[in-house]
Amino acid sequence: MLQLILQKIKNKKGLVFSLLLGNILLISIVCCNVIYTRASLQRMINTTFSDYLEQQNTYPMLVSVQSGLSQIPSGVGNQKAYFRSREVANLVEDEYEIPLKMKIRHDQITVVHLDMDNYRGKSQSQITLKLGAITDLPRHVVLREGTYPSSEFTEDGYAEVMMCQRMMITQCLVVGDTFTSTKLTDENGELLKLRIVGVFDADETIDDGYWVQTPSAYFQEFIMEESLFSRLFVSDEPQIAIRTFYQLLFDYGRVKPEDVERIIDVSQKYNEEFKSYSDTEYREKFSERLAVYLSDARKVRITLWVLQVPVFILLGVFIFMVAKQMLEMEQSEISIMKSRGASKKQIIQVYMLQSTMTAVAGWVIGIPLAFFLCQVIGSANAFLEFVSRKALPVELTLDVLLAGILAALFSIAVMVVPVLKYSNVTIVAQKQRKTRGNGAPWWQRYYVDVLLLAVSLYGLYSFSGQKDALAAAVADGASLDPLLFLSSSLFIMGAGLVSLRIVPMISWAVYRIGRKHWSPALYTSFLRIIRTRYRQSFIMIFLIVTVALGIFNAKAARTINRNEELRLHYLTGADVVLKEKWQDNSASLEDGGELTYIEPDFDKYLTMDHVVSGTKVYRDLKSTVTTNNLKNVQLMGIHTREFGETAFMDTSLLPEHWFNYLNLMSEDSGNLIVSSNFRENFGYKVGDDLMFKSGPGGSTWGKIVAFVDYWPGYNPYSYTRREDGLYSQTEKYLIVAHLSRLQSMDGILPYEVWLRTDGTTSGVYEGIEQKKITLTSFTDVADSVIRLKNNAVFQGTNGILTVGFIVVLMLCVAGFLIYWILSIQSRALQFGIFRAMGMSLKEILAGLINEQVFITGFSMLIGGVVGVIASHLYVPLIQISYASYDQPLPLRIASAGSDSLKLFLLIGIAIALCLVILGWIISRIHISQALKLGED
Amino acid sequence: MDNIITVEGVSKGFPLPDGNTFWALSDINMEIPQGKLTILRGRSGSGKTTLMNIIGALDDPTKGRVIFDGQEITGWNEETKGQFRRYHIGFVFQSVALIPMMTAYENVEFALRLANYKGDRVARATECLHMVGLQSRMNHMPEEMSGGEQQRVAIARALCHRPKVIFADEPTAELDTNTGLMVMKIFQELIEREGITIVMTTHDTGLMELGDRVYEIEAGELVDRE
Repeated sequence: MLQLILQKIKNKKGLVFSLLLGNILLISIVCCNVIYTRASLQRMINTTFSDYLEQQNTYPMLVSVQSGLSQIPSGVGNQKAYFRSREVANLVEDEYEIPLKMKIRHDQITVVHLDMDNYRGKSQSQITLKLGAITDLPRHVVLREGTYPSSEFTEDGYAEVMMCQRMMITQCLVVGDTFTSTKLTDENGELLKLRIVGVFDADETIDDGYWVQTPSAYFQEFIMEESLFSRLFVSDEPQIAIRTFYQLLFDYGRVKPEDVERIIDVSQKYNEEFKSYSDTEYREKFSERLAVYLSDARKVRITLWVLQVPVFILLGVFIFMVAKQMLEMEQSEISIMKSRGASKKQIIQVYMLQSTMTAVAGWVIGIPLAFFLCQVIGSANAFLEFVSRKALPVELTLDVLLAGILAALFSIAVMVVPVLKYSNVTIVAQKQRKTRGNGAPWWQRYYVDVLLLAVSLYGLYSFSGQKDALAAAVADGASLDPLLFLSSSLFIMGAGLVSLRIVPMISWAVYRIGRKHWSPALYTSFLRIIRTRYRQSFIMIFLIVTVALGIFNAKAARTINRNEELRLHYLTGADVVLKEKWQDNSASLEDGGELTYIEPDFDKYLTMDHVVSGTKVYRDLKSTVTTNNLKNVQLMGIHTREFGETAFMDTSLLPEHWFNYLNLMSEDSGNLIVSSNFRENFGYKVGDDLMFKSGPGGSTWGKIVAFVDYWPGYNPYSYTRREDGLYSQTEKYLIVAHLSRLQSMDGILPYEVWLRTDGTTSGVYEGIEQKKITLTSFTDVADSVIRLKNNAVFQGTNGILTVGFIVVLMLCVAGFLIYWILSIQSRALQFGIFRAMGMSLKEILAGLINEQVFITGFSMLIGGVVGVIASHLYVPLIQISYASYDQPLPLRIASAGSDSLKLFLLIGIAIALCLVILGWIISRIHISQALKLGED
Repeated sequence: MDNIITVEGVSKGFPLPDGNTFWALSDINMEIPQGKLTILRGRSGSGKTTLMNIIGALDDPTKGRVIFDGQEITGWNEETKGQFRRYHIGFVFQSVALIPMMTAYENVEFALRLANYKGDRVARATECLHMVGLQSRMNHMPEEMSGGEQQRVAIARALCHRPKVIFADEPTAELDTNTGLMVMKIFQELIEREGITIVMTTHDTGLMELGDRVYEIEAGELVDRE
């Protein structure tokens, strides 16, 4: 059986190769999705923790368990709490299933009365302090003085302790001081005697998160050696109240996507459980962050899958079509086998084995390819645009292998299904079928194409109806609606298929118009185009979908990117916005004195490399309009001319060019531009006076000369994420006034510096470093855009849209070659006749080129039209899914000429390559061979 | 009787892998009379098709020359030979060689187009199909016709542009005896009505008496039967 299959493979190299290609691509796309999703999620977890570390400056995955909150001096309650804490601390470690980096236990006796043996300069002879012990201390301290306390009593009966530097100063203690406890006893039942032997400080060279609290937090506590402390005070029945603090530092770098839910569950369980205890506490802050991650992760997961759906469908169709084509060619073999008594089962077995071999080969090659594709996706910056980035943390997990196996099984099923039909046909039935000729394809007979189109348009209609709901859902963290994206894919398929009903009519019309005059070559090619139209539909639909999908993907990616870039640019206000740290007189300020600032030099910014222009912008977000009881109004003080030259503003956002507003404002120093909601909510009109109060300054008034919906850096709403993870919206007001006027009223207050660059911001960085400028804030739009593009959803979207297109293009090339090679091979005899009848090779080629124009050219044209229509219909809806919750700008479809150019260049190269291969094949056909003219 | 084609000392050799040459034809001399049916007979492998290909300007001989209507056609380039075939020669092949996606009528009309036929193409194509008795099946596709019918369409196609010579390579080989005879009858009628010259090959000794002139080939050489 195997030999039979190998023989078959040898005879149909092209088809087998295409089938293998389909399998490899299918399996690698599926696996790539699994790998990439996981890698993205992993990176999101890592950023979640590292952002936390950066923002809070505390260890990101820290659990604190502590007992002894209530002041029970001793007894059962305290004992219980102490042991509960200890137990939980041990349990948690196992339940989180994340390796611990460190487990720090700090036991403490909170009230220790000590008689001072030597009370230098003090009024009292007794002091009250705490006594404690911390695990693993020696490794993390440096001794400023003395030695580390011993775990044994000294020969003269003292227990050694040490103190922090702050304690030494605040308590006026020195190494060598001794104390006697008034209550605590040593092992022999005698009153405990303590001696200070050292002064410690944190070892700054070790940065492992050990110092959850800084050493100076222990300024009222003697630290004893840990084992001595345990021996003395910790027992199953403690006689004295001991508090215990556990600090569990988990190795957050080891948290994997699949751990997150468990971590949240465990945290929740303990948070709940500890609510009922008044004397013990369980505290962690990361599960809140991880919950946010979890909702983002769901979004990423769905988006990444949804985007690949059209590619999956096409791959499935491709494999099915190639398998069917192969079967068609083997039909007579099957029929002969059947007629000779082979059972249906045996025939299916042959194909099952063959398909399995193909799928296994696809699996073996597809999985490594998947890793490569992941890196391609990871480096995508826009559609068909790549940048070099840090490689993704990709990993070969069991999931990947399983996903590959599932894809392979799917592919085997797709390849074997057509056999079921063919294995029933005997040689007689096959001959009969052949003569009946080719009818319309099933999808035309049952109007599947019309149905697809109708469904997709219905989807569009219903989604358009709920555009606002869609936007609201997205603002609440919903992801790209799979049905929405699916309906865009259905539209492309449906419209493509429907147009296949129309194209033959066009070809027919062209043929009829010039029927009398066509040269023999054109005549034959037209007849062929018209009479074999159903057979061409396979390649035509692939061409249409490739081009349409390419355009659609390019537009979708470009729009999604552009809208976000515009949003960032708009909200920032200019290419670079920064605030310098101003010197002030606060240090020497007396009560009632006025706070004055020293204005730093501004011109230095203008001389920085690549800076085109700059302006001073005063912004006070806490301004008030008392007449309308408005707080938190954004007050902006500008120099109109420089502002116009520097700020970034999409000119189409306002009904007139925004320079006109600036000009209007510049006419008088008291003129104001205010946000439209002043008019809408309070009925202000142009010409009205507006009294407002700047934060630190007094009241000022101005005359309103214009209302605007948009202004650089102005967001009409502010958003706060509520506890349930949803965002709530608050309306914001804006007043734009002349900076000079504000300054004459309130004096010169720290303002922002807005800069426009020639596209490169490196000059600003260098300038700031060279001139040693201290900044309190700095925003570089270019940098924000880069960070945006590294976001899992954006990177994944750009990457998948690109990879998806490349895969479809590869399928298209393979399909194109299969179609044309088979078409030409099957026509070898015909070409022979033509040649014998005296047609030249040139004429035959002309005929073929005519076919290309009407089949390939038309398909690409239709693909282009379908792609443009699809993007105009669906991209406006799809982009909503990518919009940020604080999207102030209207979303618009963006396209760039460079995209289409790249797209058509790529497709053009692919098709040209195909034509070269075809030309080579045709030139190898010899007439005599084709006509079987030779006698052997 | 005028001869339309004269074959002088034609040999055709094919190089063998061992460096020797296999002579498919050696030193053939013959004449083909105008307006007559000439039959080349031989067993399969005798070289008759090779010979016909050379006479029909499809192939070049290794040695010798072919004079066609006073012109030496040997040594012409592919282009010229193509043009020559297009206007002056009609072919009927052993295996039915109609263009599958064209109807009977279109197949015939196509030959007229190819030969740049100046007259009324519709009328001429219809006339030719009538001649072979297929006027009623004009609009059928080849796959809807029997082998004999297809062969008759092929003949109509070969003759419609009024070529000087029709070459028919084993036109009856794949047909049953009755249909074969019918084809031969059509040939004879054509010669009578259109004054056309026909050269055909066959391995069937039974058909030999229908020819005006018969050449017999064996192992690449003409066998003198007279």
